Amino acid sequence: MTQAEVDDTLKRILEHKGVTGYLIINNDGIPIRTTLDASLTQQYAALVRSLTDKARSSVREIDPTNELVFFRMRTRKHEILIAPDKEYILVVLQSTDVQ
Amino acid sequence: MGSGNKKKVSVELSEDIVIIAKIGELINDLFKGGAFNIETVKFLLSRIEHYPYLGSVLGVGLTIISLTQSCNDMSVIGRIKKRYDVLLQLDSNSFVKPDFYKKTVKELCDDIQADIEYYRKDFMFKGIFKGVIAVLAGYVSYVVRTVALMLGMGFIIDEYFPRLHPQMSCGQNRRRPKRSSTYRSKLDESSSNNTRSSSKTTRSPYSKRNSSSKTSLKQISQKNPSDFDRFRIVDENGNDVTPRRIADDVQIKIQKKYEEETIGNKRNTDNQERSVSETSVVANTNSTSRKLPTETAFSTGERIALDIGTRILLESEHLLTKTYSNRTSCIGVDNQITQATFQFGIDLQRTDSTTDCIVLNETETIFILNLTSSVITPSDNETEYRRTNEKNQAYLELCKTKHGNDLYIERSMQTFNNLSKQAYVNTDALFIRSQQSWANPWDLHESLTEAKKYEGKIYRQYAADNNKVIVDGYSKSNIQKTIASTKSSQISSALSSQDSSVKMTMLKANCFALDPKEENPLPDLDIQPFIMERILNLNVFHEKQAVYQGLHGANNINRESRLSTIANDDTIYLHRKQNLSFMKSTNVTIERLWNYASPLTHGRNVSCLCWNERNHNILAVGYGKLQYNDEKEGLVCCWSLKNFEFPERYYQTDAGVTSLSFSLKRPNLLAVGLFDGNICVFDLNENHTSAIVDTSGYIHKHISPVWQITWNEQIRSSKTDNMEVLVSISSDGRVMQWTLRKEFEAMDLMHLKRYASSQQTSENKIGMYDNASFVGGFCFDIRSNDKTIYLCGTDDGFVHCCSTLYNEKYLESYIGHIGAVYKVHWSPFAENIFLTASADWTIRLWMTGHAEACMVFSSANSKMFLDAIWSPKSSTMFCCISENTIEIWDLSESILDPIYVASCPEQLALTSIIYATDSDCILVGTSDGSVWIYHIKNLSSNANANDLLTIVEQHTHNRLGFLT
Repeated sequence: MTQAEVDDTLKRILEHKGVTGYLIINNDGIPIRTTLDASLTQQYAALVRSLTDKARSSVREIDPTNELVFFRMRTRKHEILIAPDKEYILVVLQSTDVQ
Repeated sequence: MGSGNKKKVSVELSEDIVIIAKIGELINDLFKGGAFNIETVKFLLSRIEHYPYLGSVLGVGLTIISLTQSCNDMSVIGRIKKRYDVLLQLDSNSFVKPDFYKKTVKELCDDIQADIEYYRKDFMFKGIFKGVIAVLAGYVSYVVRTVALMLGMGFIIDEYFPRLHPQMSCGQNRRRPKRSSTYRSKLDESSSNNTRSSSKTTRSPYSKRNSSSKTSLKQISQKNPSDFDRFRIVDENGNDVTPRRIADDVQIKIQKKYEEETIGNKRNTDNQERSVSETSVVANTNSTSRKLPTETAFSTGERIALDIGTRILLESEHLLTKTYSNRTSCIGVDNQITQATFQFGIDLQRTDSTTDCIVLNETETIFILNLTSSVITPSDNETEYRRTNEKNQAYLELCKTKHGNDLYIERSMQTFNNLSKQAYVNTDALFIRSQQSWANPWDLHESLTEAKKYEGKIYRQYAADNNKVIVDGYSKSNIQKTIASTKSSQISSALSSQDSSVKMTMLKANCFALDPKEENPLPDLDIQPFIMERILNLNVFHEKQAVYQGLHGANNINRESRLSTIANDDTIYLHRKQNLSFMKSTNVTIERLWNYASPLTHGRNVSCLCWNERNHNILAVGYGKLQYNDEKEGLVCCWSLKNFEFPERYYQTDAGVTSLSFSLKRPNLLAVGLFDGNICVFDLNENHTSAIVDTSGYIHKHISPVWQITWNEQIRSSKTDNMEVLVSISSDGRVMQWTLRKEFEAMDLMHLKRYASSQQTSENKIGMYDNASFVGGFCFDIRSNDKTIYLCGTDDGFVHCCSTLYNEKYLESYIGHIGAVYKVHWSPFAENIFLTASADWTIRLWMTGHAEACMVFSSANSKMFLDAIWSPKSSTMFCCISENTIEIWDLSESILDPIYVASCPEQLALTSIIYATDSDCILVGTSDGSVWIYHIKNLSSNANANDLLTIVEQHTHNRLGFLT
């Protein structure tokens, strides 16, 4: 995807119902793009990074040929959608009561 | 001080010094191992007549030696005590009975010598004794040396004396306790014999000699009458020449000095003010309770021995100081008064004439003697003791040989110092880095697969050309490829659970995209937003998806919660639905689920819909005006069921899209018929957005809009594999078959003509048609059970049945429509029945073999029918679209009216309709570019082919009957 496409996609993602924001973290856990406020971004960046690593490790531990593509956490308030990739992690927050 | 006098003094002193030196030597010898020089003793004994005190000194010294050697033996102590007594007698009476004295001393010395020889065998040192004696010996030798020095430089010493004085008294104070005890013990022993002495005679010598000391002496006598209760000797001048013990003299001096300092004060208060030691000196007789620390450590005999040792000290001190105190008194009376001078008195007859006096003082910093020594006894440490002894012996040898030995040469040599050189070496800084890693099973797996992958490929190449850069580049690109392939496989697995042959790889470069060289801050966000969007869609449209997939249970269960949670949104929705639909039948209703629309497609006209045959989640939608227009661009979008908001793929075409078809054998190929007559084939797997093949350069291409295009599997007997060909129909009246090899290879299947005279066989009731004129084809449908037979719908209302094998004329022609036939569809259940939708506001049902329509359908609000599709579930059901309404017909229910009619609330023209492949949904394309998905609820009809045939035959019979 090119930058424009990515941007478009991210824009569309934001327009989805209940989506409160997204966050892109790089491998070092540094947020490189965010629509959340700073403190929340920091928190998510720090925590999601390790969680993703753990999840990915778990998946691959079971079957080394497998790969984590996506996972989500449903909480009382949000649904946290996490799409890890080789270098970046995309995190989207969606309100639970949308559905 | 005259020179003659000085000389005389020196001579006299030299005699004393020799004696003192001998004593010191004797003591030194004794220290070194108990073996003293008997000659020294004899010498001293020979001088004893002249120096009566020497008797005491010698006796005491020898006794000490004996004691130190056998202090544990009480009998020895007793013997020594006796001898001591004798010595004391000798001492006191030496000048009275010289002969006796001489003889006795000689005997005594022999006796002592014998004793010493005897006790040498178990010779032992006691640490404290040695220390005390060492102090004495050192003191003596020091004093000797100092005296010698002073003799040479008497005038200098004279000047020193006043300054040294206080310290001297201090030094004396240190020893006073000892002395006092000495004094006491001596008194104990001797005073009993001499109690007859009167105090009167004691006073007289002092009063004559020194008037100033007279009162003090008197006081002392009065206080301690026993002090001077001994015999007296008075010379011819009436002076008291009684040999006086040092302690007496010192006491007198100190008392005198003390009196001078404390004139006008009471003595008692003064005594209190004085230091404890001085007080003890004054009241020495009362100080019996006062004991030295050393005394407590020893038995009575030992204490006596100690006292004797102290006496040695004091008397030798006395001896030394006597001569010099006389001299000092010559220089200044002040010194004599203020100094605690030892004046031995006149008992030393030979020095009596001299008045020289030397006073040695200590200052705070200068001590006359400070000799610390370490004592090692054999019982403590045998080896250490031996070593020390050896060292001492060696030192003695050295001392012996050092001076006065010709062989001893003191020489110094200069040696070369090793030159130190500093060398510096520069090294690289050492970087210490700690690393740790943890290998997961998948880590191992990855490295293993990578190693396998590049085994024999990369490394061989690496070995061959040894060019690391190339290898790196190669491996990198390889890795990227593998990554891409894994990604694509992931996506495809996500997309399609049935077959991964449809590879929905992400478009790396899109023709609509910006220049890839442009700076891209998010270069690798390939998958994430893509997946994220799908997930979000699934989240939002979960319920509707469930409905779409036919999960009714889930739908019903969740309906309540959905209505409660998003009541706001839902009420709008319900309103819409109510507006949309008015029920003709209570049984069947349709519900709009969602629509495929994006800004990309907005305002475009949906011209055709096509499902992928393999992956039923992928819908291709063509956009383009159906009428003539100056629209230059068309659009093909490939929607996924998982993302309603944005198409997975989109291709822009040069003209409006009029028809679409997915290949069956290769589901990634999408054939697109365009308004300008071109046919393009897109490969969905490819990343580029241009068609892989098109007919633009082909001379026989269609020149009019390609209204329908279909992949047709061609069965050929000569070849094992079935070729798949494209069949297209166009307004130019040609049905063409395209073989897709390198390029398109075209073959005309049929030239649609007006129903002409040439077709004699089939013209039964139809009149003649113009031979030359072509009719435009709008649609065709290939029979499913015989791929060579197909139906063509033309714009003049005819439907022809043709064969691909025979392109000269129609097999059959079906006449009835008075408008263009837009769509023709074989029934999926009954093989001989087909349905046509026409511009003449009718839908007709045909049967092969019957030239006329078996049934004609038209409802009250029907207009031009653009499409009519058979339901895949029920043979008697079909859906059709007419302008802005959707009509659902069920022939089993009614053949006159549709069972359900829904109108589009936005009054949009509906352009195309298609059944969803796996569910009870229909997809309707509108003129504004959105594709709506409607769910048909309560669909209960499950009619089969026979039902349809029965209805059709019944109807035909009725009509025939009616006609006849």
